[in-house]
Amino acid sequence: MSTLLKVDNLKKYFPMKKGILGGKSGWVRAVNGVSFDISPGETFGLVGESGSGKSTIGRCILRLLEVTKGRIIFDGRDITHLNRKAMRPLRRDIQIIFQDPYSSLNPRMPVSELIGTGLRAAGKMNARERRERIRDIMEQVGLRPEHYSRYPHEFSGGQRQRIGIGRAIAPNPRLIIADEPLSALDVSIQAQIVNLMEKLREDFNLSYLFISHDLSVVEHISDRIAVMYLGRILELGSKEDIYDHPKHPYTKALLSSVPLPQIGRSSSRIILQGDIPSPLRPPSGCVFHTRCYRYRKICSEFEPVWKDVGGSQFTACHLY
Amino acid sequence: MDTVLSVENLKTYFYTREGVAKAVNGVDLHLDRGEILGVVGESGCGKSVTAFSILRLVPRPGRIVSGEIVLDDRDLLRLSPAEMRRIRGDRISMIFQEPMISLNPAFTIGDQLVEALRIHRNMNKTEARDHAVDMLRKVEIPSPERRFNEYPHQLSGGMSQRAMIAESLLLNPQVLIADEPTTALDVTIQAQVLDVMYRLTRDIGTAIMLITHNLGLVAESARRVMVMYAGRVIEEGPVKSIFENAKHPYTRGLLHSIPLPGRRRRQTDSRLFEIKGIVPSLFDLPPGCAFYPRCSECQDICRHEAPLRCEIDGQHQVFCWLYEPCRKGS
Repeated sequence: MSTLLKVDNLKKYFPMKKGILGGKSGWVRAVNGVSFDISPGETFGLVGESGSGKSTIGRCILRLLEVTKGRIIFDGRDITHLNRKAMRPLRRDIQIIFQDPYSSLNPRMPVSELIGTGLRAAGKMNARERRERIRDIMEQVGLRPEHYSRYPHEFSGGQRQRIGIGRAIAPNPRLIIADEPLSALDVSIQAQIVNLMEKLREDFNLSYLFISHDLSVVEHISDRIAVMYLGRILELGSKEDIYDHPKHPYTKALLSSVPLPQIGRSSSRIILQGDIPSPLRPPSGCVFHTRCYRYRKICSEFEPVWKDVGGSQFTACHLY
Repeated sequence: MDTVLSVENLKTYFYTREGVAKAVNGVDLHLDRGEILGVVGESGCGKSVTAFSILRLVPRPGRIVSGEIVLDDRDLLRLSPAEMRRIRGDRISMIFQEPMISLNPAFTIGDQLVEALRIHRNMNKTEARDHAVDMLRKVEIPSPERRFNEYPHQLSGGMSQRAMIAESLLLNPQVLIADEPTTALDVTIQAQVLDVMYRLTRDIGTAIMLITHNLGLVAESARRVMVMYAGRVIEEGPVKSIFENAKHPYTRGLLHSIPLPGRRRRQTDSRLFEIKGIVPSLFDLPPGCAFYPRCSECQDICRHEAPLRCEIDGQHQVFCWLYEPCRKGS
């Protein structure tokens, strides 16, 4: 299969400043050597807990953050260091949907303009074409024609997320980075948005980088999944690999921690000890070793290498 | 079973410039000794306002309009503010989603625990300190003597929530209202915190009213479940019958709209079930059943008359016109 996006050994460090003089006291290693790729039409899920670096990856791909090291290749072209001007035509190809539909939409713009700004990148068109295209997009995302000149505050959270999705698909992108797009929504509304995103993916052959902490939703929507912890991918594989045959102890613990709306599930919950360490001082060796229930001496001494554990499944763990 | 808390026909309205929002619109509930009651529903269904009403902490412009809240044969709505203060934290306490709201940032964790013990239990300083450190140990905060002297901002999210649990269970309350206690936490931390909370309340014999939007949490731990919609209870029953034999179209819809592990791979129709539309405005509730505009099984009567209570079996009851209502008085 061809590759739409390739992320190669990506690193993003943020400087930590200390004191009034702002002297550097260290680096927060938010993303610390991450590689994966996404095919056209594929949904790639990125799961992890807070501080795992999953959102930072999304922002690096969009070039909203400067990359510290590594490469981002979109459609065969290295975009890691393109300047603003060279990046502009690519903005229509890569779009983002944000978590919070309340703060990500300009409150002074009506729906037509919010969606219309996305069209600016899509090339020239006259006023009538533009209006028609906006109405067309509104229909695609399930907004009614009378919503055309209404403002964000007149909508519920779910409808605002529809506006956000409309804005993202307006320039006909090929990749959408969805950063926790459901977290701010109620359960019954989440289902509406998930279904909408899937319909749009089929209709427009979109690829998604679906960033989320909700393992159930990620399983539902993704084709392949990467599990992140403290700036690293610990395991990567197809949905079946990850959910039916998890290999990494962290993936196993994470999956067992999710409460499911089912009665009498044979519960063999793995309760991890301790807190997630600070990315300012990540543990030596395997970053997970401080909380791992299969810890051996080697884990704190050497960083595990990336191992192929069958088919399309990879993990970084000394057990394999 | 003996009931520790019962609420009858509770109505809490918010009087705003835009009109009256009927946030809680006639809620009945009871809590048995030591049980866990799950209260589920989406934002605006009135689950949190019900909790605040029980503690008599409804923020302005909200007001409890009518109802009875009975704890230990006393109607809390008839108590003076001073009497109510003695009950809060002592007989009933609460854990919120955001620990930062309930922990005072200007005092150390230890000070907050000691203060409660000195006021409610008349302990001297040393006794209170020993008791407080012991409680921090019980919630499994590492090196409790050191944490005792730390301020809330020095604790991580999971640790603050443990400190909250320590504070709320310090005086062995009969009722703990836990309003989205783990929503702000990561799943692996959530598992740790819930483990501690359930273990301690079991030891003390505290009943929990677990308010959450997470049906998974309820399925795992609650004995009974109450489903709320637009300020009312629409279905309630033992956890098993709610999850396996839900009757209300809203409850069934909610359960089907959540992705389950492997469900998609087993089914041919792979889309999630959608409940159409959005929750109604509390300022302008539809007449009849509040759910009818979104209901796929809506009948004529649903538009005009509020549904009556129907008993499915024993404790399982539903408010929906699809079922035969109980006769008055029975």
